[in-house]
Amino acid sequence: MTSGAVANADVLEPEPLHPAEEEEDARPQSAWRTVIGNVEGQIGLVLGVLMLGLILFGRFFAPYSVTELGVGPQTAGPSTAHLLGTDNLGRDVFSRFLAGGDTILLVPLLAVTLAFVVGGGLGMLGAYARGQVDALITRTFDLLLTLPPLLLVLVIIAGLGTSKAVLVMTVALVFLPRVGRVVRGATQAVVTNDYVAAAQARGERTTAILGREVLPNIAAPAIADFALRITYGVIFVATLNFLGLGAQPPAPDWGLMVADSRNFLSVAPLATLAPAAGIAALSISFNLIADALTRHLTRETAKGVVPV
Amino acid sequence: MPEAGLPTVAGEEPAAAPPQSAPPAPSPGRAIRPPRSRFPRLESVARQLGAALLTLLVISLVTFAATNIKSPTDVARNALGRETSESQLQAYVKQHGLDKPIYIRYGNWLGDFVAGDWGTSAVTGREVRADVLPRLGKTLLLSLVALGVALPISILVGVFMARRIGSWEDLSLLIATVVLAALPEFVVGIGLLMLFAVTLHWLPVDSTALSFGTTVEKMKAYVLPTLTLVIAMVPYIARIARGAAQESLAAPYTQAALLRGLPRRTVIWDHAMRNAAVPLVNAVAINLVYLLSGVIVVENVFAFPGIGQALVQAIAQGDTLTVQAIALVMGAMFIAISLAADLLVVYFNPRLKAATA
Repeated sequence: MTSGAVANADVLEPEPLHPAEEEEDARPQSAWRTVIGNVEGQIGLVLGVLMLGLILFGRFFAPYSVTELGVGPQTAGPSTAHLLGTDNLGRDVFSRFLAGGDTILLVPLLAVTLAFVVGGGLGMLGAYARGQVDALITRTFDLLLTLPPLLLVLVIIAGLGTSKAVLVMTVALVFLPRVGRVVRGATQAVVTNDYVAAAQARGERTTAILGREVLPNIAAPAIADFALRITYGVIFVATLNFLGLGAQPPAPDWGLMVADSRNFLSVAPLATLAPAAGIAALSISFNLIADALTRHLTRETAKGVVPV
Repeated sequence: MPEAGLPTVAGEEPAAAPPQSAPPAPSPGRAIRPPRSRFPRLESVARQLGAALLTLLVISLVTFAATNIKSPTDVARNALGRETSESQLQAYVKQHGLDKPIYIRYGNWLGDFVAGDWGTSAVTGREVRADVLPRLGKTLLLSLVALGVALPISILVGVFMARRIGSWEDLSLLIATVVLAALPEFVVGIGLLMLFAVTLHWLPVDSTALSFGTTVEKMKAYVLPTLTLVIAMVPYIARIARGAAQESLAAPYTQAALLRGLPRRTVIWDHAMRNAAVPLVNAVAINLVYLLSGVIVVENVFAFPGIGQALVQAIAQGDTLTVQAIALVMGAMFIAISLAADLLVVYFNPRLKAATA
């Protein structure tokens, strides 16, 4: 709200007749209510639950072995025996599709959680402790932030090889300073409050103050950021799998399936398009939820402005 | 991977100025701080160059540390194959100086690299420099063309949205940016391939024509990679543009200009967007490093013979020297492009030109 006209309008506004109602309105909505409260969040949530169900339980409905070669003819189109056709090695695409989503769900979840524990912890500590501790933490974040993420991850994988542990650690390393800065910013706004000073006066330990006073009050922006990071994480890990630097064959992984079947796009398009659609649906659902959350946190209105 | 913090319009804030840029402490007892420099513009450019060099140094350190974490004998066995005698391994280690401490090896490599000797690949047996440099030009061209197309489109879309904040057009475009931004580059690329190459047969399925095709074929080979990068970039930059435009359209000077009855076109582009250009280009410059990383993926989707494709190949083959060289060259390229964008900000904002301490 930068416009002068708006400020004046606020002054001229009569005092609310029911102050209690006003207060209730200003109460922060829970993250859950925010997401189910608008169409964007609803679509994201429904899509997300569907994809989660598919990834977690889909494998139990796979009609064929996911790694067995030649269960059908090579690069065949869809049929009743093979709903999505077969790939260039005669594997059943539908079975592999049902089983292929776990890496891009699990690795981002672990990596983002790790980034929040380490980076978020450091960010909170920095904003709370201030002074040299803060300066050191902020400088470290800044240094890490200047490194191009994909390049950093590729280079580390070049040295340490591909395993799920390396994937989780490197993706967490990329997110760590970004999460840390968001959490630090949110904490800075909270630590000046009286309840923090009261806790300090009661002589509570730093960990208790951070955990009980600060953490609940930065939960909203942290949750929004978490959802956003998961989106990036899914994109990231899917990309690494596609580049052949994440999941290794013959694992039925969506990114890997896209890479393997890419050369057969004209003869067996579904072998490529089905896993690509899976990745897209998962990532879109998380991004819709993240956007619904963030939009709620930074409500934008354009009242009192001459339309241009 | 772009890092524009999609919903937050401002995107990544600039990394703080590097330590060496800290202003000297004012001498006590003087009321007025003396001007730090007679050439503030030059100084700010120098500072950014310093920050860029520092970043490159960190990239080189991380790359070298990561790729040299293996023991020297492992490196030797990797290069010579599994059926190698102990004495052969020792000879290789000696010959390549792998028995020296890691910091000396790092110093030697960096010194040679800066001097122009990028070494000979143990995997291909060719000069790394001769393999990498010809590819660099193609990657650079692809990045710049994509950026040149994406930027104007994004600004137009952003302004269109900012003028209709809260309307159904704005909201549906917002949702569209959220959906597009959630798609990995390779998914976009595969979709475009399916549409334009496999179904419509308008364009080639890969970019290998760049290595041997005719001029027309070469130009066609650029289309799909460029389009993929553009689709990956526009959602981010358009959101940033929308935020910047929204702010300057609601600013008092814009409102005043409108109420004075100036033509809308003049107000939007001459008054509002000229001022919005500064935060806009700033935010874009910061996100460029992330947006441009997409070039690595796009090259691999379309078999585009650039350094991104070479990097992934080198990693798969364990070609350490090539990985190191490409990491540095690519880092330098990303940083140079965002530095250029930073300089554009100065061009757009005369206040920064005239600024004196």
